[in-house]
Amino acid sequence: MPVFNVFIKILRKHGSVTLLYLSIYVLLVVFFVMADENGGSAADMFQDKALALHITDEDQSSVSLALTDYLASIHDVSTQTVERGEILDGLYYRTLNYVLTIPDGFEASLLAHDAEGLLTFAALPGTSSELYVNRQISLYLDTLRRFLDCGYSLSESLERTGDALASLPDAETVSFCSANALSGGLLEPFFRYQPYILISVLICGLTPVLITLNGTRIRTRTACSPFPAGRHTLALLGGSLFYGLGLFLICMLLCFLFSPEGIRQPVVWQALLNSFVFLLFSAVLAVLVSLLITDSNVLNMVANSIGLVMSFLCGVFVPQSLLPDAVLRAGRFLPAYWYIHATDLLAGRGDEVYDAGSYWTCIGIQLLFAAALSVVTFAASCRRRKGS
Amino acid sequence: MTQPIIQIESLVKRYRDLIALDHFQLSVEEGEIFGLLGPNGSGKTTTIHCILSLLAYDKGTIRVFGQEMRPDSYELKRQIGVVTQEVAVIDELTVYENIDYFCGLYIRDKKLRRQYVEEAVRFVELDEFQKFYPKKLSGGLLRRLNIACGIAHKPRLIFLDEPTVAVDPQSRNRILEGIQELNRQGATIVYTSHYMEEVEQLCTRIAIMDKGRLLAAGTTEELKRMIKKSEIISIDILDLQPEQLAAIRSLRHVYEASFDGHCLKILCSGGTHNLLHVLEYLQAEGLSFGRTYSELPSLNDVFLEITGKELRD
Repeated sequence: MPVFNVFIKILRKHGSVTLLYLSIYVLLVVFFVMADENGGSAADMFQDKALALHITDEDQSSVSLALTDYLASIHDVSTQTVERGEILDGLYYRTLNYVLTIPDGFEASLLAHDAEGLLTFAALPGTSSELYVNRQISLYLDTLRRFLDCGYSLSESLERTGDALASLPDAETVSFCSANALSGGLLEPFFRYQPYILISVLICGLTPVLITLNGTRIRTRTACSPFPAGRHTLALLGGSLFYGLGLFLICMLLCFLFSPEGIRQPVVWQALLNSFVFLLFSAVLAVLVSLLITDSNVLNMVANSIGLVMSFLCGVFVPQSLLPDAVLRAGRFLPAYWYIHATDLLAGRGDEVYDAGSYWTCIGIQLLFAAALSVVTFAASCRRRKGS
Repeated sequence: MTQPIIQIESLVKRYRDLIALDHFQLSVEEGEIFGLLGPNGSGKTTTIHCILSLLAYDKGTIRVFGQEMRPDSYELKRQIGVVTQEVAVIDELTVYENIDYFCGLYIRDKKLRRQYVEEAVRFVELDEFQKFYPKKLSGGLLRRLNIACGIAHKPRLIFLDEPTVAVDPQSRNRILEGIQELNRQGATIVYTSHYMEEVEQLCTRIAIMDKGRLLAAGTTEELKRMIKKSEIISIDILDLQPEQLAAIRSLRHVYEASFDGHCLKILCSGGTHNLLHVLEYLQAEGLSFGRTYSELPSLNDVFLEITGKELRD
């Protein structure tokens, strides 16, 4: 056990780096969740809201009055005649959100199917009010036209349009992901940022130990002793496994600390499995780095370069749905892409609906990456041994 | 007759087209301090690596303690200590932890190991630095730590590959005394160095090798007897005529004489009292002379004459 014991001893001396990364990670997760909570969820941000509308009805027809009534059922509508300057002041000071003018002859034009572009409106540019009210006006007029086209009289069509729009079913956002999705709370950012953290922690924590004990001088000295080379390699593998499993255990503990009820949720266990597979890949990467780099002082730079490139290409920091196609195409050749894809599936984010097949595909691809990297690492190890 | 502790016969080692060891022969007896001398690239380290089975060789046999040395000869390796030319210690461990780790590769018994490690610390006089990390040690102290790591397990056979490179004179003397002490305690030592005076002072037998071949082996005196030069005479003279120089060349045992304007240098081969003959001639010629030196050939002269080059060429 001398090699394993000294592995643990050296690991302890580099323990501060691991602790530092994990502490920053926990703080970041908490910070992002707090920032997210202040911003509100997507459902909270997009809710029906009554706006301040001013309608100038020059037509005073049954259609214009019905449209005014419909809009008044949703918004705070004023119809008094006011000066143009007063309207502009209202828009500027946000006491008015939208100003609609229904021109004279609007009803006749509508019946003649020639009302396109007749309505004029004003709203503050860059606000959602314009889109929001326009969509409601279009909905009303399109519905009315359909009833007219069906042969109903104008009064009947207005009545039916009013009824139809009043009885619209309440819309509800439905997520197709599994019932216990990771979204919301600390778990989603906790799992999302793991690729960067795992790569950094493993390269800065494990690689220096391997560089030290696998260095040519120490290897040569060990080869002179009665300690078999195979046992030396096994001790290093055992030490790496110990470190990897220890790190995973800490991740699990943090996960259940952030979400104590997660222990009963299958989706959390699926996310943990996803993390474990990515950890395998990162551990093999750390071993490969230890074979290619002999100076421990550059490891921070290497860890940051690999971690940041992988994170930005694969959607760790920026959601995959916001990344350009070209970036995603490149990201597919990196395991972090499939890790994030699986996390998105579990969290109900992104464009794809969760299904077990897709999840296991992501896990399988990550395992393939780990296996391929293991082969490269083995080849590098053989080459290095032959060289020395 | 006792069996040699190391016996190498017709050892051949090739690196593709380069022949690193060309039918190399060597025999080291138990209790010796055996010096291996040779210029860079002569095959010294290759020889040691082959003996330790760190390198596979193409032809020949290597026997250590009378047994064939193989990579899995762990019982033989248990009795061997190696002090590498480059300091091979772990920067993250203290002096004590380093010695304990390397000793632990040989000695499993914790109590015995502790005793050995403490003895090794005392032996290299690093008692005050036990809790220091290698980066805090000076070059000399680091070399001593390197030695302690190689000898803590009390091996019967120790390979010391240039252990005094880049070491201050004080530390060097301590290291050399330590090596002699190890030898007195019963260890056989194979020593390689660039420093001729060290080898001359330390080694009981020396082998000179070049281009992978053994050129000569023996005690210092035996080696000195192998060369033509037996005495070097230097005399400060103000003026010397060419005919006088020719006359000196014709003196008995003188095989070379040169005058550079103020110093007459004479090389003699064999014979005794050569200086007396030269001084008699100078006196007879009425030549006044100053400082006079007579030196016996050094190991460096032996090396130069045998290999045709300086050790550091």
